[in-house]
Amino acid sequence: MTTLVGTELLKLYWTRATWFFLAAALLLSAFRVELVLASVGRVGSPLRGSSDLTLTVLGASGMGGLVVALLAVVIVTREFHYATWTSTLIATPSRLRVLVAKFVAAAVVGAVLAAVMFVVAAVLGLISGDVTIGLDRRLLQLLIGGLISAAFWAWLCAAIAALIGNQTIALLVPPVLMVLIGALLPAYGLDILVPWAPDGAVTSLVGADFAGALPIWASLLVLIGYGLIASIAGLRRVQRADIS
Amino acid sequence: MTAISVRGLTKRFGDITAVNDLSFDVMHGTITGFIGPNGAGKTTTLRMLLGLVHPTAGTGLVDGSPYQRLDRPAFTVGAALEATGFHPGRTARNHLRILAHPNRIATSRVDEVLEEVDLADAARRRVGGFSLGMRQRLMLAGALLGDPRILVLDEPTNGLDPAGVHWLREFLRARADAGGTILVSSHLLAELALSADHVVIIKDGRLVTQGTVEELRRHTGSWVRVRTPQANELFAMLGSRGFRAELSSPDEVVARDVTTQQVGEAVAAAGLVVYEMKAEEQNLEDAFLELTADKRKSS
Repeated sequence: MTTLVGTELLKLYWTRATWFFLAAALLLSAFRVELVLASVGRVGSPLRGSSDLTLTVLGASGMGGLVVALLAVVIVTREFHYATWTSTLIATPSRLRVLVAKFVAAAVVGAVLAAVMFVVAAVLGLISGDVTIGLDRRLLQLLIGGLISAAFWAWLCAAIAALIGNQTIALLVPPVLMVLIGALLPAYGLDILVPWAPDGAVTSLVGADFAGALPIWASLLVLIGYGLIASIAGLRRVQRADIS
Repeated sequence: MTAISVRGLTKRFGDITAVNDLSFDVMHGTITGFIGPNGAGKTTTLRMLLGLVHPTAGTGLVDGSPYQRLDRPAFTVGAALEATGFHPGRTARNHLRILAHPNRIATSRVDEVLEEVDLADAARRRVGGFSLGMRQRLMLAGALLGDPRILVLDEPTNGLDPAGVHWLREFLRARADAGGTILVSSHLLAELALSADHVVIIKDGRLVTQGTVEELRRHTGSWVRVRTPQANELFAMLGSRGFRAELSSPDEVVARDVTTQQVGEAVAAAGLVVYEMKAEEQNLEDAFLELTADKRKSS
């Protein structure tokens, strides 16, 4: 399995689109962090040097996660898009192993990129002189929860992409899951569902406090549940498909 | 010994039966041409053999096992199915390295196969800019990575220029002579007749015939066409000598399964006038067309 995950990472490494996605993720993340830093000192923004500002700045770096989730979709769908499934499955006939390797590779890329975005946010914050980095429980939860969340989003989006197959439609999944559902549930008075939605569970995991927020262990279980259900559905679809 | 075994293979896509109860064997150390007109079910059969398409019924075995159960299949069988399954942004070398990686094949082998298919100079070029012929060679390079004993090639000459076709023919023959086994599909019998030992001909997903190229050649006919002002006399005389003949026009007789020498001697003995005598034979392509002709249309 390690070899197959390595193969998937090599595919990413040797594809130009990957680097465009990663550059876009970092730029988006940096832009969002700069917006937060620009608002320091204004009414309603955290105080200079406070731990709240540190959390807000580092949390803002997660903005690039949307682009990473799009990359996770492409990890799966480009095999259909470019008809490379044939050569991939001739080299490795087990569709189960290939897909699991793709999900793992997507999760790894998600977590690594989240770490890089955290570093970029911290550096920008330190350069501005407004942010101080003091490791406390809340910051630790944000960092660890952020890495897990990024890996989760990439895994979930890759799994749903396997279920959908069509790249154009699958690329709509990350914005719908990460932005739209979280916004629509309260708008339709379904606040009770918010903590159980993927976005709500992720928010709980990184330590954000809101009404009905789940404990860490429950958030983790919810995320794993979503990931497994999507993965099984995606695997079944790919297992049954004729590659022609 | 059987390298590839297909038994009762059937594939239905809704109401359409693409492959219908197809059975054949490919023996080790031979080149087997898998021939049929476009849409005959060749590619679907090969895809079922390689585990890419699920059969409705039947089995396809490679080296005694279903393809999916082969451990590191690149070392047992190399397959080149279509010259379109490439990521256009990757270089030829990186495309092959990606295929080599899961089978733990060294990068040095990638360079070797690129050399073997005459693509070494284009190794670092993106596949998106490749011609169809270059893509075919790259597909073949991918199939050769594990130096497998068995090759499965789907229409490998598509897009190759005459020199490329000649090169491929020589290449396949050399591999077969070294003990390799090759199953190669084509819609052109003449193309494979020069290199294949056996042929499996299908049409509408069904087996039409299979055997050696020589056996197929024996099924082709020969005849002598004679133009003469005494056609009726010649026709009667050939019949009296036990030759199969027909009066194809008022001044022409066609004698089947005879030589020009036999006809010439008969003509001389009867003192007939002959304007023209021509030996003709049905070639393999004609035989193939006859075998795969749409009977409903021709009747």
